[in-house]
Amino acid sequence: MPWTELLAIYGVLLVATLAFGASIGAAMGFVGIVGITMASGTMLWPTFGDIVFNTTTNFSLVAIPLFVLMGELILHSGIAGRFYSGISSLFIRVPGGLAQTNIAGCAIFSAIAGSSVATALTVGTVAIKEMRSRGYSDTLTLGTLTAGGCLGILIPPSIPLIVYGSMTQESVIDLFMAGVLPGILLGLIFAVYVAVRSTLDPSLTPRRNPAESIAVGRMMRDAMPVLGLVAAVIGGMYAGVVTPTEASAFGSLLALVLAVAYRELTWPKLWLALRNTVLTSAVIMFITINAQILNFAVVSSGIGRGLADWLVAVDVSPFLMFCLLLAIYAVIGMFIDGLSIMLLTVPLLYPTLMALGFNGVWVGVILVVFIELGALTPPMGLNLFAISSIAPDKTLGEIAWASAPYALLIVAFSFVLYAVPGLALWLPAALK
Amino acid sequence: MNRIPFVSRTLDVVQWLGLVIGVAMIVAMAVLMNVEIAGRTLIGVSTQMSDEFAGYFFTAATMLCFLPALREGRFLRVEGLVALAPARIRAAAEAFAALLGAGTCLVLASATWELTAASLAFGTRSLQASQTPLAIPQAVMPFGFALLAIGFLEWGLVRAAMLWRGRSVTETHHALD
Repeated sequence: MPWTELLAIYGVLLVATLAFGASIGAAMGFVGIVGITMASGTMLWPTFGDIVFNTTTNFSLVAIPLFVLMGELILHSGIAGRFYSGISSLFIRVPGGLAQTNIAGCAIFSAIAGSSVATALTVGTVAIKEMRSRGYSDTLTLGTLTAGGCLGILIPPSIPLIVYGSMTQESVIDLFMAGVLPGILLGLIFAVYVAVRSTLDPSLTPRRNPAESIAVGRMMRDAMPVLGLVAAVIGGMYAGVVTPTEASAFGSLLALVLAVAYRELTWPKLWLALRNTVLTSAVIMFITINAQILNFAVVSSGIGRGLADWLVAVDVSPFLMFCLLLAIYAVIGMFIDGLSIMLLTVPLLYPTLMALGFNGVWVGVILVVFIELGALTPPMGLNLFAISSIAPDKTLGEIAWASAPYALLIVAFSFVLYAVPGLALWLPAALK
Repeated sequence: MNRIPFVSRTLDVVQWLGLVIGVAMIVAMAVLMNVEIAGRTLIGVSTQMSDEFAGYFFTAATMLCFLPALREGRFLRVEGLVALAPARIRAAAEAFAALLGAGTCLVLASATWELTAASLAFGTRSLQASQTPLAIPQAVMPFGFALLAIGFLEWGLVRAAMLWRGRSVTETHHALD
């Protein structure tokens, strides 16, 4: 059967099963199984066993639960609250005040959590109460939290980048390093936007108290341990002392030590952190395993190769491909979470993008930027749900509206990243 | 009906056990890798097995926690379209989704069982220094998928029955990325 017909069958089956409410992982696995069965009956079914075992024992993927654990320990041990108050005094004289703290806090927590939702929740749990009590506009508070959370998957460690690396065999360390500069730059863009907006509309922020000063002592006491944790995890990885997976284990240990030192981690909180870790990991792995089965079907049936050859033959320019990719991710991102989109599309698109001359590491970073966009757009924007869960008096629409300017900034930033790929590729090359 | 007598109670126990063992596996992974880091950097000695066994522990944690993750509503779905449909069509969709999930898991249970049986029959061992008989870490996979298949059927049946009788079911949105 020609690859075009197979692609149509796969697409229709996938959309239909998802529309009928099948779990995303099961839908991917089902389409993969049907595809393989159409091509060669049940002869290749035993291969699924190898695929499952190779996926779950993949050493890169082992980092996922331990990075999740590190974030969970920080979230449940009260470290987040101390850290937020520690760095908040740094921004009292910057236009936007605590809104800037949200972005900086999210950027730093990104280097611990590996997940945009965990980052938004960690900082948001502390920030919303504090900012409301001081009279900040909810629009500014909620928007900076959902947007700041997006940095969680761009600044390393990043779970989507680990999964992308395991699917494409790109180096996870290179991918992590490639996310650093774009992550910092995007954070700065958000910060400039907040500064400009709060200067133009002073009603968004409370009047500055001239008596307030930068509390260096408190900053050192409350923020430095977290910054030390970030430095140890990222530094250990980039110095070659530990692999990314070992860094996740080391980071979890350090987070536990910090939590115990602050004397705020109780047994029930530790259990909750561990429980959330295994459950989140199981969900990620269920989707990943089934995506690998779908990947196997796509590769065996020649769809990936056929699509790549066709796009090269019709001479699609890289820029048009980039725009198509942005449009695909923006639309699918409204309905499916980012990691699932990546798992669904990478097997199909990676050979095509390579054939068009894109760099594999850059592709990983740009896809993460695109899925950040999906996290901010309703109806399936996970960051919106996360913030809605801690601000129940606000509708999803209000939170989405507050996040809209940041979504546009992400779109604009993706074009900058296209025009200047060195923003992502310079650091991995420089550190080699 | 929000529970299936005996089946739901049994699954409650299995779910709790799966969670406890899964957590233990994650802790074991973290301990093992930190021992490796400490050994290598402080005294220049490697365990020679941390990457291999971390993978096995992760396999076990993953497989045993599929069922708890499903029953706690953590599995991601596209719920928007189905939510717009009348209750009885939603009930049919729930049953369809459950059957599809169960069917997929049964195929994977069968495939992983074949792999485990082949490893056992041929005495296949890992290529690492430990030369672990691979049937041991592989055995948890068919078990995990079979449990998940049962879980899908229970989950779908219960939700379909509730919707059919006009009762509401909780929609979930959990974090992944």
